[in-house]
Amino acid sequence: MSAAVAPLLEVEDLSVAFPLPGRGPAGRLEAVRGVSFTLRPGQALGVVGESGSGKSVTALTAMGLTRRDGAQLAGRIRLAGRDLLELDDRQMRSLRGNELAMVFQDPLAALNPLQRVGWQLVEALRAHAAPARRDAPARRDAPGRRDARARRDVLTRRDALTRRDARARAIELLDRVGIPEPGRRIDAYPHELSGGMRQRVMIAMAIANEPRLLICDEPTSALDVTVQAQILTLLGELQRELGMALLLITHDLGVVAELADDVAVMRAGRIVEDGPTREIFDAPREEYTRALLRAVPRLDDPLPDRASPTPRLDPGAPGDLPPAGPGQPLLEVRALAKGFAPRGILARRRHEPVRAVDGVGFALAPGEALGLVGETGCGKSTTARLVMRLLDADAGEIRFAGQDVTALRGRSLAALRRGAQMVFQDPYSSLNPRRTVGACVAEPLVVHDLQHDRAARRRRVGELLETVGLAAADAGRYPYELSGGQRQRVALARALAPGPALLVADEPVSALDVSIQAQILALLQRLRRDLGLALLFISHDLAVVRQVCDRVAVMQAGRIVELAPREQLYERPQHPYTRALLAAVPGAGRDRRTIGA
Amino acid sequence: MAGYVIRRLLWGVALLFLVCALTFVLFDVLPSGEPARLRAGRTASPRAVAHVRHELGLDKPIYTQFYDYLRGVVLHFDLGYSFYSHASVAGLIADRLPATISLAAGATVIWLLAGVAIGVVSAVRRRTWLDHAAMGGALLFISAPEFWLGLVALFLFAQDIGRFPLLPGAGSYTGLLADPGKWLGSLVLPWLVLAAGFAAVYARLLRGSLLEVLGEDHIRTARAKGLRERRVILRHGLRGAIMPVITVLGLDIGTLLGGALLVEVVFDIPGVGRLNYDAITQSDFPIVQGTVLLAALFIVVANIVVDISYAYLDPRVRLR
Repeated sequence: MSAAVAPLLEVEDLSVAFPLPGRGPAGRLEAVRGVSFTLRPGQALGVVGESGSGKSVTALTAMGLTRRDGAQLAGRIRLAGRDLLELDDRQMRSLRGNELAMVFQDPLAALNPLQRVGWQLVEALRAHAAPARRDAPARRDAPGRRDARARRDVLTRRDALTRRDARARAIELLDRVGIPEPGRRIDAYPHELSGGMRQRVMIAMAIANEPRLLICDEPTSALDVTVQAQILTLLGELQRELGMALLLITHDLGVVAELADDVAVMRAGRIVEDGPTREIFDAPREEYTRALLRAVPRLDDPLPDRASPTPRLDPGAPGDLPPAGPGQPLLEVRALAKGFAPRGILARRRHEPVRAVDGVGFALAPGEALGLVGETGCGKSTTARLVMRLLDADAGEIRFAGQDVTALRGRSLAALRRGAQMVFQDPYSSLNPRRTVGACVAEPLVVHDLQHDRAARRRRVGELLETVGLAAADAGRYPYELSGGQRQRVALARALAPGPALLVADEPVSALDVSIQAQILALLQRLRRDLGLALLFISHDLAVVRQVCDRVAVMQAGRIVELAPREQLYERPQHPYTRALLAAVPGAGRDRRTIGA
Repeated sequence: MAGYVIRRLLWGVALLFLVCALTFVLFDVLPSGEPARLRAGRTASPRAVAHVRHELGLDKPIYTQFYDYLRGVVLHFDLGYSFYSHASVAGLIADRLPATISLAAGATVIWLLAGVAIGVVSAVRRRTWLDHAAMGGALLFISAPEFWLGLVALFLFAQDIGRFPLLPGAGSYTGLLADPGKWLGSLVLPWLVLAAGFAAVYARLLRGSLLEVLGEDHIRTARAKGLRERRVILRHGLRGAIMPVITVLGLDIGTLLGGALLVEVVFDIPGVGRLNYDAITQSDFPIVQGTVLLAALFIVVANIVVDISYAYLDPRVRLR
């Protein structure tokens, strides 16, 4: 804000394009088009936008990591006055991990799975441990002298930081990012740590050389909400302590609200709006920003009307299930249990099987929507799979329309599959890439022998696609031609094809952008209302569940710790874990008087 | 880790037992020509055949025969005696093994060095002329049959018949202990010929696997740390990419130690492969049985070594 402080990072009219192979010299993908922003030392800037908006490419370009992908760059990126785009690879390398460092989205993928975390930290420390490193890239040598200097650098580097010192420093770093027993954890492999601890390791690695600029690309998107809150707090602390500037790339406006002083909203490679966080949240100027803010489901949104359970549309092919009697639940689960034991003849027997689901019970009335929420590993997805008989339960009872699901075989199991359908999280991997949309949606009709006549089947597929907001003509397209939201619509159409009474949706919107997420949620609401569908909705996102469900069950370590009607659960949570979950939602404490109004 | 190794070893023993049982059934139970008659000769009288049958224990129940056979193999490494020379099969194999091991070991070193180097360079310089040339050449060597390559090598470089007589040709094999210099000279051509095809396969395999690993997120992290590209590729990339290569390597070494038949024949090297080949043409079952068992042993052992090195290279494997 004050012009007195010299900016640390100045991005000026930056454009990044990637050549598209096989499209000739003119074929290129313009990922970033003329982006400009500045970042003062110690400032936190949030860059928000949906997938494909160019926010990650901007960050990677600042790190010099898009060069080897053949990126065509224009504009300027100045770090403390030095233009990064003019540095050669070696100079850029000496800055990376040193002056500017980066934390990535998925810490499991971003850490080397084959090396201990200590090894990876020591490597980061020693890569830049040469003395007088701040001015190293500024020195310019004649090309002939470079090799000699490189050799000398290796020597001085060894002198500068021995393995033992680096290890001691690594333990300090692990301690600093809040890893308990750092002296022991330093010898752990990434897969031996929890998601939150992995991200802490990742952060320790990024701050190892006390960078002046820390870039975080979706640092908490792969984490559970309570862990997310801890990581955001840690990032804020470190930023203040080390006086770093923070460039925070995220799709999550709640995360921005927690950490960023200023916000830049990106869309299609451009910054459409920027300014102080408070102003952007309270009085967004651009329609896109307003739409983005509106699309985010929040805990303090006005509650939507309950979907009426009376069907208004013919659900299509009538199911041959006995109708549930009045007052009878459609789905009833009692004392459900499932454990996963190590397999194999010689597997170690000593270990207790992991109890993924441990005595879960609930009932779901026809047309009702029940949310199952909880963090990774709480057993919510396993419960869904047990209900669908994709897994066999160890103990307990599942009754669907009066029938015991656990005992079903052959034809009656097929009848269950007609009556209960599932939608999965990732529409990119849950659709067969080699089959057209039409073939995919028609398959349940064929499998369940519902529509013999080809022409009638095609008509029905068209109707189904129109029901989910696609065009009948989309039947001829392949999944790769569709966006994420369109694919999830196809997955829904496929699930609706056999005319189910129950839809089990496992994180159906988690892989989607917020604006798409809002559309799919609205579609789910409409389908419930129009078709009288009952919904078992699994999600980690409390705000999403609140929008969709009549009652909510909170799961922790394989058990339901609280099950209550929506209003009661969100307004008067009883269980301490429910309260912790609600408190951890980013931006939960922020008031939003005028947003989206 | 110890538990993992013990489990692997137990599986190996179980597998070898199965192979023993299978070869026993194949060579002692199923043959249409009665073994005793083969052994006794064409013109033997029924009494002589019965005598041989008794001597070989063929009149005992099958399970007793199998027990005796297994005991002989396990306790005394007794693989029986050749029908023709009456020499001990174990002794015959022991005579031939050094040549086979020499051939396999040298070729392995060459193909690993060449294959890994070419694979890495091709992956790093992807879609350059270097990559295209290396992969084109690899395809050529994969397609070329070993015996043809061997003959071409002999016609080009062998001292007796070659255009450019640089190296000793066929039939020049000398034991390592007899004369190390001659041993080396006699094996250079066979090594190169044997290694060519393998190197080509490994280069292609490693290129693909390395390209996949280099696309992973943790490679980007390594670059973001400011590491030198050489370190990114060798320490972060190659370590993960080498896994499929090691799997294939175990199988290949195991197979080769059972005899590299074609190369042994072309270069007239007295190895296990030749022994086996000659035994097959003469229906000398005990030798065939012995070499099959030996090959199985090598393959099983090589696989155990592969599994253990897997666990060493990838800590996640130890969990399974």
